[in-house]
Amino acid sequence: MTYVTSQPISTRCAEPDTAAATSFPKRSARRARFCATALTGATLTFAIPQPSFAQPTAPPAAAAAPNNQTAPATPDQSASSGKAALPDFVKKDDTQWPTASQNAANTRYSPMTEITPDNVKNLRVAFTFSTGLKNGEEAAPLVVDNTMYIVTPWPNYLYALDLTKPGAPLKWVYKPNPDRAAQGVACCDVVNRGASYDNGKVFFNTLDDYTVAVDAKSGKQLWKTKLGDINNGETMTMAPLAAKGKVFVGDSGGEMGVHGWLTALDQNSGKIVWRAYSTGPDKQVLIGSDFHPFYKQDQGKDLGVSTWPPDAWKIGGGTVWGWVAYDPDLNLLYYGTANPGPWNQEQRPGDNLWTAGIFARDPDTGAAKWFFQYNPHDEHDYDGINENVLVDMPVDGKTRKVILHPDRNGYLYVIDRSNGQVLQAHTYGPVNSTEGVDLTTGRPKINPAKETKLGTVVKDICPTASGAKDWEPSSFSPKTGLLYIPHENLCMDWENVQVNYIAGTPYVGANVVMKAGPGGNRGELTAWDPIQGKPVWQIKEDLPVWSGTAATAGGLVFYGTMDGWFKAVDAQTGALKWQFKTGSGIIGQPIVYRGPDGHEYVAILSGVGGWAGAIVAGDLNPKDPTGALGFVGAMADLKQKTTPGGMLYVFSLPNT
Amino acid sequence: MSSRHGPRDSRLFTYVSIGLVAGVAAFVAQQSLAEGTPPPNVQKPLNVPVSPLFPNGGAAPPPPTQVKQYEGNPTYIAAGHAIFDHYNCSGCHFHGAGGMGPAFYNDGHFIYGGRLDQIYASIYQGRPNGMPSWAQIIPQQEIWEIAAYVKALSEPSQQSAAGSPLPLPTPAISGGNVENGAALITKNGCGSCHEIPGIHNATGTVGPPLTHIAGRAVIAGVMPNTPDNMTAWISNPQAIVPGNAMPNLGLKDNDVRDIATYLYTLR
Amino acid sequence: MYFLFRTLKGCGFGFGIGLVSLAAFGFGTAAVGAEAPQPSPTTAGEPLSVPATTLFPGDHKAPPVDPNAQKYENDAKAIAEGAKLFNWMNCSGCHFHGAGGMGPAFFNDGHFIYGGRLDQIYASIAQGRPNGMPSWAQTLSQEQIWQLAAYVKSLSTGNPQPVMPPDTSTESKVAPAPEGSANP
Repeated sequence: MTYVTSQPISTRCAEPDTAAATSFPKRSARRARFCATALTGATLTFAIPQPSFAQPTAPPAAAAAPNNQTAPATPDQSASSGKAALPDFVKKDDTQWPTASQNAANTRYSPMTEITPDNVKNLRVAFTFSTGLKNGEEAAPLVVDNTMYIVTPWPNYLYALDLTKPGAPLKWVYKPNPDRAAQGVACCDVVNRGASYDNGKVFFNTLDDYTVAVDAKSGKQLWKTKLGDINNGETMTMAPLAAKGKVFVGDSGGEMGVHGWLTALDQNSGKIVWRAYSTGPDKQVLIGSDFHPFYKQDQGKDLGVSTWPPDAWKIGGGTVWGWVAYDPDLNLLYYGTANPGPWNQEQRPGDNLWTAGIFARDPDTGAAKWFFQYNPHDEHDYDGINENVLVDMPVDGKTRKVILHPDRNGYLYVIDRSNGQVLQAHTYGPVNSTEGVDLTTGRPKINPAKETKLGTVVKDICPTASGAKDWEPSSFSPKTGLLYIPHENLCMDWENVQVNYIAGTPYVGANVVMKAGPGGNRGELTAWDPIQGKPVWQIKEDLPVWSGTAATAGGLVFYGTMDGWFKAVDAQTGALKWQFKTGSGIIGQPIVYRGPDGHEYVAILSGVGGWAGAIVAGDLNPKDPTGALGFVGAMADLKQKTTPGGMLYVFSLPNT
Repeated sequence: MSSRHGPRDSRLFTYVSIGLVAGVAAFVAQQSLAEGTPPPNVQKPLNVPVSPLFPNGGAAPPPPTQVKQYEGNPTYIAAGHAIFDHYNCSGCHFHGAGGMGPAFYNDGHFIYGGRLDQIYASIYQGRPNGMPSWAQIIPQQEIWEIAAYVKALSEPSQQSAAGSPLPLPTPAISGGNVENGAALITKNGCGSCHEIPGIHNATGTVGPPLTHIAGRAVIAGVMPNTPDNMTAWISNPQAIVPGNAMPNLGLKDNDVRDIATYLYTLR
Repeated sequence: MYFLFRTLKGCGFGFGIGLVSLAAFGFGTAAVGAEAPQPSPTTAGEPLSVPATTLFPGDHKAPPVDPNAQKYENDAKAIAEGAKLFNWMNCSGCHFHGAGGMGPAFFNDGHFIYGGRLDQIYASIAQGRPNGMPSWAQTLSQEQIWQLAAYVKSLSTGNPQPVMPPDTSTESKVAPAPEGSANP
């Protein structure tokens, strides 16, 4: 009798042939790094040091600005320095954190330099705050005007903490009283990803489909606008972006047969200014004469109808539950649309526009300017909603305004943000569901062996439904030029089943079981060089890395693990420099800010849950591995490794 | 009335009749206090308690007849299983694990009560944290069938990966050597106690057969089947279940890992 | 039958039998300990027909409020009766007089866990609720439960008047113990 060894999954089988697939010529890495180091060193040597707080000043050649100050703003050097850079419109000295994504470019990079790889080992807890809840804490705290703002999972309390007093006591709490039944139509724990501040107001969303504006000082409700209906299966979990006098918000519910949209509200009145749906006739999608998609397959009339079976677009998903970015120079709003519904692809033949893609829109009118679809006729729940990090980067010797987007499908896209052209698409994790992205069309090459089918279990599809990376956002450091990507290493088995549409109930049609990817580690932190199109270093983690990352000028990257470790690693090398065990798994977004005393603080919400942590948040039973859309199958040990409980931790160096 | 009876008897009879009529009228009047609702449907249990607390020495009311009729009945359970997917119940509750909704692999512990009529009531009325009210959509007979299926799921004996439409994923051990594992299994005589596919002469019947060991949910009847538990068991079974028939073989860690790696190829 | 009537002579007996009939069939209030509780006999205020959620799949809407709600809600007499029952049945022992205690507050701006419609409050009282609210259907009549519901709803939506206003004086009213005396 012979035995069968398990077939290893080809980790790079979908790596595109770089010569054929990329039109971007290879650049000499060594030359780029030398230029970068030389220029950085030269610039910093001439920076004027400010008085410091008894910390040793770094030698001039090292890439560390004088302590307790932000790095001086450098002019855009990206073309000659050979590194990606922050766009000009990003405030280089902003030590606050006024919106969940930090700024409209979604860079999550702090100019603070007090905490470095050398002294971070001394980091200790400055204060804590309990949210009193047991569901997943996915939010980023905001810091504006010496006040910290935290949005909790349902029931979506907004807390304001006074950072000027010892222990940061509570200033006020605003309670929106969302309908508790909304918990029953939220696919992936009752999370909330945070708020956005602008013009004296704090804006956030409630699970039962309201956007709320609260006065930032007093906590009084200014307006509360209803945007959707839980009886349609709609909820709201995303962090809004407040910009240009408006608040941009989107819905959740791609697993509930929802009609996805992005809506713009007026900051002062709360009235809806425009709404752009993600599927349907051009009129609903706000596609008009200004719409110029880069690729041919996205050009045509009412494609949001014709790429679906009749009427299927009405329950077709394309929700907008992820990140919104905005470039004020180009006057363009960028955001992704989620998966088409149902998951059972056989019930919706066609490319299913405009799901699983990225829109660029005019923020004033919502008019679509361009669109690119990452996953035409998605078969694996590869939502397009992940973050779009706006950077300026040298391409063929010229500085180009691009988007860095690590997609669910496993490719790190570099896209020209003025017109939607894909410049680069390399895999950042194991991929076998596709075999490369054709840059002439932008389309991925589907692997027929991993297409999902009715009544058949297709095994070992990589990446899994939550993707090589889900919503958890990366950060970018202009000092290293690297993108710090927190993500998963998971694959799955998948079987399609017939599903009925019943408004207000799940509309999925698939049985899924997830499992660890090649190597056995379920999570990873990857430092990615967007110019080279490859990783510089990677840290393997046992559990999926479901937290965001934050990078600092001090040379560190912060992130958390699902069993509660909050970590600081060296931004250049990935070496672990400090870690602290918090009370519960971390799935929140770390932030870095300057406190009222001028010192650097790092804040993170601990509290396991979310889709990856549903087995703990929902007390689910792993004997059925299909639970929580398959995540239970990959996380049977999580209850042993962490327990629920929301708590804010804020860290700083000792300074007494 | 016969004229045989005197006027006093007639009066008496009249008074009693009036009393009876008045009494009946009072009875009817009390009942029609809540007027305007349709007449009772005998299929519906009228009052299902959702609490185990009954003040003043009260007790739970007797269950309606449907409980006996539907509970544990294989025909109704099978029908309920079919409807469970049809109405997207599995979209929230999956196949026992739970997801948006709680797990039904719950050893009979239901938030709103595990008696069949209580499960019926939860489906019929909905519950506040996200369970919809199905009364207007699902016919009552079908609600009973779904309740019967849900209750069957909740029995501890039902909890197995075999009940799930997709099996548990195969555990993996990184760094182990399959061939060396097979050699070690042969060398250490595991086959004298266990039937092991792919190992020459491994046909023992002292211990359980190890066919499909990779896909089994539980090791030695006491631990979830994970790589850590598997290697712990092989290293020191006597520490985990003292006195059981599997001896400690004194194996080195690397050898244990290789053996486990081989075993995990047996799907 | 006639023999019986003949032996029970006198109008008194006739009236007596009538009264007994009345008492047996009529407005029995099933006061605590007075007589065995009546099982919930018919359609009136069926708690099961009351939804305990705002989710109605397939584009359905919430069913209309039970007609009894109109009768009892805002009815001063019902509310007054309900207030008496609230204390008599020890509701105030858990819910106090609006603040809550073992049970949730009814000074709640209309936010009830299991719904704030009058028939939903009825259902919560009749059925009980899992986190500690007892099931009263075996003990109380339907009318009593409607009256209680009306009172509870009035607490929730009305102008909350504290039963005992908070003491706003700053000085303690308790005389200090004399120096050297033992602590109680």
